[in-house]
Order: sequence, then structure tokens, then C-alpha cells
Amino acid sequence: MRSSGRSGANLPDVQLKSSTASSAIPLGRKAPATRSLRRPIATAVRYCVLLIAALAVVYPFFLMTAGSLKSDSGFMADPVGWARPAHPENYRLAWQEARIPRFTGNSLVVAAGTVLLTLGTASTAAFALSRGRFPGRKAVYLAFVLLLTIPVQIYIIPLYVIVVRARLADNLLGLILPYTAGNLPLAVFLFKTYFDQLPVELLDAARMDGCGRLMTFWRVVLPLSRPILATVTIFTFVQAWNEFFLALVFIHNPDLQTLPLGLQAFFVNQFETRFPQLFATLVLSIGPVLAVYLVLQRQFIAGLTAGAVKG
Amino acid sequence: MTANPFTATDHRCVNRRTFFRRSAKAGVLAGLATLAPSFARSSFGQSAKPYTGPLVLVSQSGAAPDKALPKLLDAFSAANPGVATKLILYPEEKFVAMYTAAQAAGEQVDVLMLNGQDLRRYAMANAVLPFDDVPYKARFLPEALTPFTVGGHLWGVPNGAAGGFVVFANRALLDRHKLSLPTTYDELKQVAAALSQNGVHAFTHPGKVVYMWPVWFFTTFAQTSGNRSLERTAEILSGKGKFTDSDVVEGIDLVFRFSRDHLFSPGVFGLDFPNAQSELQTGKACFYLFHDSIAKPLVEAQSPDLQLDFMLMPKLMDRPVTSQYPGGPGTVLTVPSRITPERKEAALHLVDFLSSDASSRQSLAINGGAVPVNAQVSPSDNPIYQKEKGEISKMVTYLDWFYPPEITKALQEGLQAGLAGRLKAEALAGTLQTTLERLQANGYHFAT
Amino acid sequence: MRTQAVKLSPGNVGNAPSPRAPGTRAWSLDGLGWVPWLAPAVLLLGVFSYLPILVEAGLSLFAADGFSPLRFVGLANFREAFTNADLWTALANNGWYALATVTGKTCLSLLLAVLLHGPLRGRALFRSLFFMPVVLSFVAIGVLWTLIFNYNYGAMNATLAIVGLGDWRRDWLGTPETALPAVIAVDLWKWTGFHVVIYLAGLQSIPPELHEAAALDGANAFQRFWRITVPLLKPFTAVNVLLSSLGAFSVFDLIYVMTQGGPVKATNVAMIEVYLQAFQFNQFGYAAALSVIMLGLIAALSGALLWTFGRQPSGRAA
Repeated sequence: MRSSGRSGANLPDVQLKSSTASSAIPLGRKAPATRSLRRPIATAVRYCVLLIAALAVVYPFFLMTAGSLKSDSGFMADPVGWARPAHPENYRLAWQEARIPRFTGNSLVVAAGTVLLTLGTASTAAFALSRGRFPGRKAVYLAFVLLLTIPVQIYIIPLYVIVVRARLADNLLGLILPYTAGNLPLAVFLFKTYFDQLPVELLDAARMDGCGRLMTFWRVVLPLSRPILATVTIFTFVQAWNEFFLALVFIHNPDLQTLPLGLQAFFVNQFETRFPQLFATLVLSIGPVLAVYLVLQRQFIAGLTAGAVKG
Repeated sequence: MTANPFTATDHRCVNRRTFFRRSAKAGVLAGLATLAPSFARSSFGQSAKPYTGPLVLVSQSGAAPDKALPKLLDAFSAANPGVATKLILYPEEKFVAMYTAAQAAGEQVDVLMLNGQDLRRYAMANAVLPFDDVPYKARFLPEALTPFTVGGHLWGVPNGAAGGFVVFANRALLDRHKLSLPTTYDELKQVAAALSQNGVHAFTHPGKVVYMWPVWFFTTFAQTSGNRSLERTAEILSGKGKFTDSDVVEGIDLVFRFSRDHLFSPGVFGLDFPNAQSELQTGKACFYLFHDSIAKPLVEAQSPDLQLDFMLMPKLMDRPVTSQYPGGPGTVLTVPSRITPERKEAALHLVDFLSSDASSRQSLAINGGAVPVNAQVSPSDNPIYQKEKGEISKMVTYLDWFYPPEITKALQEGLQAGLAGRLKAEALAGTLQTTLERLQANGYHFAT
Repeated sequence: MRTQAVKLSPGNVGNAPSPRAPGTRAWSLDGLGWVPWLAPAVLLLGVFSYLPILVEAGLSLFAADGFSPLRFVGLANFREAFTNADLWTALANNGWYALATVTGKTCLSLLLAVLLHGPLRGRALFRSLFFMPVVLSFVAIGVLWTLIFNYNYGAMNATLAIVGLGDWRRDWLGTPETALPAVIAVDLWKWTGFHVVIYLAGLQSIPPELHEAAALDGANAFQRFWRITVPLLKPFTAVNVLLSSLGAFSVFDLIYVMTQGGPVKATNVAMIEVYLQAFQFNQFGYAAALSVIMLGLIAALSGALLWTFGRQPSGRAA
């Protein structure tokens, strides 16, 4: 396919020769002696650098977890160390006062709705753009990818007017639809790239079996698309779960607030720093999105890399 | 639950009975029980078909939330079956944008609770109803009506309590180091030096929030203008004076002097509201120029390390002037002029209810406040508010209630830049004057 | 938030392959038959993205402050924008931001990916860890990192004091000179793991025989890295550069939660300027004009980068 050809086409001639040469020689175990001597040192260096990087990445998470287990005064006395003694009732307070269950429920509805709607509309549209041969195809595709990185902040006021006119203000659907629209460019782009690389023989085979477009899509294409479905799911879920600005402008009913909005309101309305409780709410709010990522991560990475590695 | 009325279930689910049960705890049952019936549907009187349906109040969520408002709205709904009040809060700094969008979208808004700055702009655009004929003007302190009178008309009724930005001080810190409240700038510097030897900074401030800096200028300009900051502002805005006049330049420079003399805690530009407040609470800083609405929660959170007191800004100059502080008469309740006739009566009725003496008492019991705008309501017994009541004659209306927004913007940004040592007072004054002259060239006229 | 979620994978852009397959051709060519496939997505995008953008573009021709009625002013808002120093300062900040994040993310993620590539115990764990910041919300990032950079009780200053660099302590986000670098550091922290994943995909696509053979020819690890790995990773580098540059010019959320453009406009990037003009200063027409300018700029930049990137595969890397 195209992308594998890309890697191949890039090879400088010398390397191609080496490659040919190498395949003639038995490989693997016969590595030069110096290399095997160096290996333990190299591995140690690798671990060192990776560990330092991992520490830098994880440190804020540590800070948050440790902070969430401190008492208010304990936090002020030592905001950077581990919590001694642990003070788990922050979680109970956060759960009750910050209304985590309610906000989590709203966020789940919004995130799930956005994911499903995005998967449904983007995959079908991308399939049409990938396999259809109709006039205006390129223009439609361009219209999607043009908005890849346009932040919603710059047109939020007209968007709000539209949402209110559509009677969707103070309604979770009023978040789901704009979120979906915001995720479509990326999702269509990812799906189309992926579909473009599906072997055409597969589709032909389905056609021979008498499948129409819909059947082919449903029976052949989608089952083969699990990695890209996972990739789009994660991106969309993360976006919808974390989105704050649109929700702030669109949702005024406290019962409909999503998690980031609710946490912000909780934090600001209290108007006093209770970092430990705030951290506890943050830890609780990260849980679901981290879970989705960890469950889907194998597929996700496969999907993300499919466009390039596939061949 | 009381900790967070805007998100807590009690906002939505409270019924009349639970409301009264809670009110009884606050000791205002008697007042409301007699009040509510008089505001019940029957009082719509001559109206043949009273309005039923949602009634929407739009307000601003600022630094300290109004914890009484949701309860009062529920009481109104309970007393008027068929009317469902709804509270919408827009964040203070996004208010105009969001209200504009709501208007463009045709969203229902029946009552507005505004600050004086926004009221003035909506009044000048005739976007709110005049309240000249309101029969209960006598409820309010006459001074509380003045800031809401623009171009000879009253555009709403005051609500809450008058109060402003005082200099909070942590008495516990001062006592521990045998210091007293400074009355002059030199004394302030000595106190600051003594504190800093003990690792305590003089002032904390939410310096990251750019719109919080102008109160410093209002405070210094009150002194450099010889206690004529309001009159001088009117003169400048109407072209009879200039921002480049020496009293303005001196006022700006006195703000910068706090920074030059290292009177702010070192991380001041990185602090937001909770950060700044926690610096005061944890004894990292001793003084805090802030709005009195935080007095109630802070007094309730007092500890051996925090004994809350306040002062007015020490005398900053050798000249004989009185120290004054910026503030305003609470918020203002008004009705958008685009309201439909059938909802207008209900909206005015809600304004009447919310600004009544009983509501004011209820609100004061919950929120605190120095000088209630309702003349017959006595102030909160919180010691800070009791003390502030004695100083209320020294309160001067926020000058930015009169500024066009362009001036406010230039002042906010310029003050922050100057405090960071990047701008001189003369330069900022020049920018302000240029901005004003450009506005005047485009037809800006100051309305009194 | 929406902006930052816009991350994409390497792949074909623009021109799709044209498989001349007799079987699928029949339905491929059926234009009208595709309408229901496209309609939902096109409708959503049209109503909730293009329509508001068009309204915004229209608004840019008016003076609008939220109080007085709209007044048609033609291109005055645009003239104002181009002569206003604030826009240029903001764009310059975007430029620095782009330079630093693109270089930083590309180098860091390449380094980490190379170290992670190949058999290594705990490889999957590292990869998951590096990716974790990507799923963290901006609200959480704002709270955490402003705390870390806090002068009095931030981890940054505490660490400096511990390692004997007490003199280096400062108010990282509150000092104009350090605020932008501090925000850039957080951006690197958040997104590097994402770019690592892309590079890992690239490394997997390089046949291991190449390295083995080059080693036999006497090339050391460094030479192999420069002569084999780097050239073969070119398409993936292109993706990473594309994504991080677009991200740098549309950055909003991170700065909004950390500094709101301050102090003294040190971190005032273009999108923050648009936001402040509309929400804090109620200059809706002017903000709309800025939006249109940024829209054009980002579209042009995406176009240019996508074009370059689209050409990349066909170009020989010799």
C-alpha cells in the first residue's frame, strides 16, 4: 500500500544494498562481540534516561495523589512530599460536597453520546469519501480537514446563539452535538486514512458475495477497523470528558454540569483554598478517562500507527 | 450542603417547608412568614390573568457567591404557584459577552442583577427599564440610589449591602511581633520590614487577575486628588481635566511604589483569588486589600494564626487628606427593556420581593454586609461589618463604574505592567489620555 | 478541550488512492447513493461549525460592544487589528511558542522513542506512563502546574532550594521573562508522550535488518541513528512537526488555565487575544476580525504543512 511504499521509496540506495546483502547472511545471533559487551551498559543508560523522563511525567500525578490525602494544614506545611498520615476523608467530602456522582453521570452521558455519534457519522462519511467516486468529493473532504485545528473559542458566541435557537441550551444534547461537530474533522481524517488502506480485494470479495455498500461496510469494513475505532473513541472521549469552555457557556443548570465545570464551580464558589479536597476531586475525575485509555490502549496505538505501518 | 448553594441539591429541590425550616434556623422565619403571603399571587391585584411560567433572573457570579439569592428565589416560587424562578449565573468577567449572546439568541431574561458599571452602560443604551416611578424608593438609603441614577433617571433598585475594598489585616501576626496597624506609609514600611524579618510579606493580592489591580489606583487616587476622586474623574472624562494631570500621575505612581518598596509578596503576579486568600489565612502575608464580602467566611474560619481585622489604607502622603476606600452600594436589580408585557409585571414583582426589607434581612443574615441598602435593616453583627459601618462615609464609588471600558482595559494592563517595573506612571497616564481622546474623537460623551 | 484534541495520525492526506477495481466500481460511482452516508456528518459540521464561523466572519464587519446596536464599519476592524501592536506581540509569542514546542517535542519524543524501541522490560508501562498527561483535563493541569510553579509552596522552588540553587527561585508564572517558558514546559510535558507513540510506529516500520547490516559494515550506533533511523523517520517527523506547529498557533486552553495571557501580556498568544477582546473587553466586532485573521492564518498554515507533508513520501531522501 501507499504508506509502506513510502518507507521503501525513502530508502537511500546504499541502505537498500545493505538490506539485500544482509538478507543473504544469517542474522540475529551473530552480532559482533563488542556489541554484546556494550549491551548491559547501554541498557542501563536506556533505563536511566527513561526513568528520569517517567519521573518528570509522573511527578504531577504523584503531587495530586499525595495532596489529596493530606489534611488542609498538613498540605500547607508540606505541599510537595508524601502524605503522612494519610487523610482519606477528603475523598468522602469531595464525593459528597462536589457532587461527583452527579457530574460524573452527566459527563458520561455527554462523552458516550459524543463518541457514539462521532463514530457513526464520521465512519460512514469517511467511507463515502474513501470509496465513493462522485463529484465534489475532494471539496467535502477538504471542508472537513480545514477545521482540524480551529479552536471553538473563536466562534463560540454565534455557536451559543445557534444552540439556544435550536432549544438546546441547558441540555446535554446541546453539548453532544457541538462536541461531535468539533471532533468530526479529526475522526473523518483518521477513518478515511484507514479506509484508504484497506485492501480493495476484500471489498470486491464482499461485492461478489452480493453485499451492497451497507452490508460491505457493516460486515467487512467495520470488523477490520477495530484499531481506528479505538483511536477515535479515545480522542473523542478525552475531548468530551475534559471539555470545559463550551460547557461553561452553554450549561447553567447546576444539575446538568459536567465534571470539569462542576469541579471548577466547586473550587471557585468555595473561594477558599482547600487543595486536598480539590485534588481528591481531580483524582476521582481522572479515573474514568484513564480507565478508557488503559482498556483501549493496545488497539488505540495500533490504530494511531496503522496509517503508517500498515502494508 | 450549605457550603455550595449553587450546585447543591437544595437549590432545586427545596420546597417551601424545608425552606422555612432552614430559615427558622437563621432566625428569620417570622419575617418571611408574614412577608411571603403579601407577595403571593393575590397581590398581583388588578391583573386579570397573572403570568405563569418560568421567571428568569440573570446574575453575575463573582468572587464571593450570593448564598441567599437561591433561597429567596425559591421562596418567591413557593409563594407564587405557577411561577418557577430560575437563576442563571454568568461569571463576572464574561457577563457582557454571555448576556449579549443570550439576547441575540432570544433567551428569556426577566430580571437582571448587575454591578453599577454594567448598569450604567445598559442604561445609556436604554436596554433596561427606568425605575423612576417605583413606589418603594423610601425603603433605600438615598445614597444607595445615586450610583444607579444615570442621565436623571433611576434604572433599577439597589440590593444587598454597601461596602467596598478595605485593607484586611491579620491581627494575630501583628500581635505576635508586637506591631500595630500602620497609619502612615512610613509606618507601613516599618511594619513590613519587621514582618519580613520573620518571613512574612506585607500585602498579598490576586495579581494574576488583571481586573483586580484598578482598586489600588482608586485607593491612592482618593488621596492624591485631595478626596475628590469622583469629581476629578467626572472632570477628566468630560474633558475638563486630563489623565496626565499631576494628581492622576501621582496616584498611579503611589501604586507602583508599593511594588518598588517590595510590599507585595514575591509571587504576586502568579496569584489568583484562592491563592491570595490562602496567603492571608496561612500567615504568609499580613495585609490584603479586598472586598468586604469575604469577611464573613474569613471570620468564621478564624484560628490562632488568623485574627481578622481591617484598616483603611494608611496615609500615603504628607498632605492632610482622609483615607478613603473604593466601594459601591451592593448590586442593582433591574428589568431588561425588551421584556414582554405579560412577564413585565411578574418581573417587577420579583424585584419588589427581592429588594424588600425582609429579603434584605434574610440576605444579610446569610451573606453578611456592612451597611444594608435598605434603611430599616440593621447591619450584620459580624465585628468587621460593625467596624466598617463606622467608616462608610469614607467609601467612594468605584471609579470604573464611570469609565468607558477602553479606559478600564488600559488601566488594568498598565497597572500590571508598571508594577512589574515595565512602565512609568507618566507613560500610563499618557496612554489613558490618548485612549480617552480617541474615544472622544469617535463621539464619546460622558453622561452624568 | 477541542483544540488540543486535534491530533492526527500519519497517513494519506488529500488524494485518495484510486483502486480500479471492477467489483466496487459500480457502487463507487453512484453519486447520489452516497448522500445518506455523508449527510449526518456534513449537516453537523455545517450547523455547528461552518454556520457560526460564517456569522463570526460577518460580525467582523461591524462595531459591536454588546450595548449599542450593531454598526457597519466595513474593514475598519481589520485595519485596527493590523495596526494594533497587541496582535503582532501575540503572534510573535505564538512564533516563539511554535519554535520551542516543535523543537522540544520532536527531539524529546525521538529520544524517548529510540530508547523505548526494541526489547525492553517494562516497555509497555513506560509507553503508558508517557501518554498519561494526554488524557488529563486542562482544568486539572491548570491547578496542578500553577501549584508546582507557585512561589511559596511550589515544587519547582522547593526542588531548587534542595539542590542548592536557592537563588534561582522565582515566581515562574508571575514573572514576564519566565512565564512563557514555563507554559511551554507544561506543553512539552502534556504532549511529548503522544509524539513518542507516533515515532514508535515509525521505528517499527524500519526493517531491523538495516541496522544489523549497517552494524556489520562497521557503523556505530550513532552513525546508524543518523544514516538510517533519522532519514527513514522523515514522514513521521513531518507528522509530528505538522501537529505541533498547528497546536502552537491555535493554543488556548493551556494558557487560559495557567496565565490567562499575563503577566504583562508575556503569554498573550493570538487565541487568548481573541478571547480577551470578546469576553473581557466586549469588542465583539474586533474580536471577530481577529478570529477571521487567525482562521485564515491557521488554514494557510495547515494547507502549507499538509502540502509539504503530502509530498514527503514521493520525495527521495537521498
